[in-house]
Amino acid sequence: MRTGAAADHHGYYHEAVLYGSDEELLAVVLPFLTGGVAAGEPTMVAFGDRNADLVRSALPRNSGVTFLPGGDVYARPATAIRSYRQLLADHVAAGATQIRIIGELQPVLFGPTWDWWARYESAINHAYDDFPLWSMCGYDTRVTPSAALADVVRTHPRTARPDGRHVPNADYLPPVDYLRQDRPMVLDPLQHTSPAVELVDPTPAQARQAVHLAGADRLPADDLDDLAVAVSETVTNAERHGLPPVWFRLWTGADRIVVTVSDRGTGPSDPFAGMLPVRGATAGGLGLWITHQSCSHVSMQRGADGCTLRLTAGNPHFTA
Amino acid sequence: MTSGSRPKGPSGHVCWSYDDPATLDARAREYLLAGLAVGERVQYASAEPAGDVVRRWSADPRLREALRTGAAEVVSIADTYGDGTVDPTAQVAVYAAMTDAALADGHTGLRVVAEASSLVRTAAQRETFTRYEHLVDRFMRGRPMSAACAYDRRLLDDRAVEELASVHPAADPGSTLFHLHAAEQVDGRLVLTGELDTSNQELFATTLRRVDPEPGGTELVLDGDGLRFVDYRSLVHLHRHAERRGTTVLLRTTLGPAARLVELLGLRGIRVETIR
Repeated sequence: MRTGAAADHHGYYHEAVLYGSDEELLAVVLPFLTGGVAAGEPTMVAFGDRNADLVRSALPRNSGVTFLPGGDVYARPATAIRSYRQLLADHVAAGATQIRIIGELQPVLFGPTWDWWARYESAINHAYDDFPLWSMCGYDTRVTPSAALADVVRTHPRTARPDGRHVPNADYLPPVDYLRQDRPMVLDPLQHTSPAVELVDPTPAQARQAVHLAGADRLPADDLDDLAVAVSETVTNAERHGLPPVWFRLWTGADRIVVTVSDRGTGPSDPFAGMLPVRGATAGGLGLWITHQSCSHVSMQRGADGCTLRLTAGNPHFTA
Repeated sequence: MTSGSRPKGPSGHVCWSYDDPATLDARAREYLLAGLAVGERVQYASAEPAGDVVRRWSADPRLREALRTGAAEVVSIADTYGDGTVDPTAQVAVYAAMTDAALADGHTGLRVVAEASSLVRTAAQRETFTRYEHLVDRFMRGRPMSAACAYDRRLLDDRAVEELASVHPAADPGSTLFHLHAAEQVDGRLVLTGELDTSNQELFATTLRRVDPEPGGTELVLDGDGLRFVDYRSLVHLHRHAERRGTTVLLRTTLGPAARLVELLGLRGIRVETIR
């Protein structure tokens, strides 16, 4: 039996928390957490250190709330989905009738990598809907850019208010609609310079070789091997499912390697491609999912002249 | 050299491909002369009539002398391998007997060049011959025999050559991106080198099916030190092979992504040991 605001809900009950002060945050979070513990539900917090300490000190000792290492969970969206789905499945297998989680993204993720976290927030409406999950995502309105806040209300069906109400978001879009919208990629400053490597219709092996030649001494071998996996899958997808020509471009920065792969096709047809291991019907979906877990950032842009995937290894948090 | 010793290094079993018979002839002579120089018995199994080769080679005093004493022998491929279908186990036994005879006659080992194109023209022939190549490859790791297998590109397409080249420890550049062959250790482990991606994953699956490597012990060990790339498709093929064989594959590799891909896809048939 489910409890609280999600009592009559089936599947995933997904809420945003938009707060402007510690008091507003605690006004939402404390009853959410203590209500979960009181109902015997697995109740978890995946916050950064500061807000984790804030909540911990506001809770009674031995509150029964579990604190997850938030920074590790939110390394890559596809990885977060995979580990959360496992966590949720484990709790359901252990008999949980509802699971409560509150999490937050660190402010650095509101920069150039926000696009894939916005896709995450939308995709999980589907990806977690197999589970009796009630979760809240905290956004500090003082530090979250307005464009990101606009995405938050488009990707969360409801907002939990400090006054105890749970209000539907009028701008909410189902994930299949939100994920199909085209969003302009925030150009990495490196993309304004001449690429170090430019190849037309490369084989996957040629593209991988370009990564290793350009990246030696710049990034750890593991990062290069991972980028080679991503590049190989992306070039393969472009050749198999896109429209020629396929352009491969590579830039090297002091702390990162940026690769773009473009073709004249319309890009992946499955809106969840990259976020979930899409198999079968949608060709190339598994490769795209692996790509999303092998880079520090993946950005996709679709337009009239084709589809471009940008893969970043190393530090993706550039200053535009 | 004792009967337990064997040729060192990947030159012990190589795959050549050619489109000019004169090039092959020169290469075969050089390879076999090097064997004679270290006391081996050598044999050329030629696509041509043996007499034609003997006449040509007799112009070289070293070969003429070796042909006279029996240190060198030229046969037609049909004489050695029969009518075009090879029984893998029986053919390895033939070479085992020839190796024993060479040693008994005071040679240090056996070295062979085999022009086997006529035996691999069809997919059905290659199905069996690939298994044979693997069994003789294993044999050569343990006994003092070495061989060069030559294939005629005028008769075989790139794909056929790739299928054959991939089960040799070494092959001419451009013939295959990967190699699956027996390891120096004679304990059933195999060596996997090169790159496995979308361009050859289907060939890799075919090769695994044909070679059908069996585990030496509780698991099938693949030494992947020389593996430069492996994608998830080929890992899936390895996983399926392990399931067919009712075993697990231990893949030793320097490639960090291999272990992550195996975990991502839940490929329980594979255990990855990441080596540095």
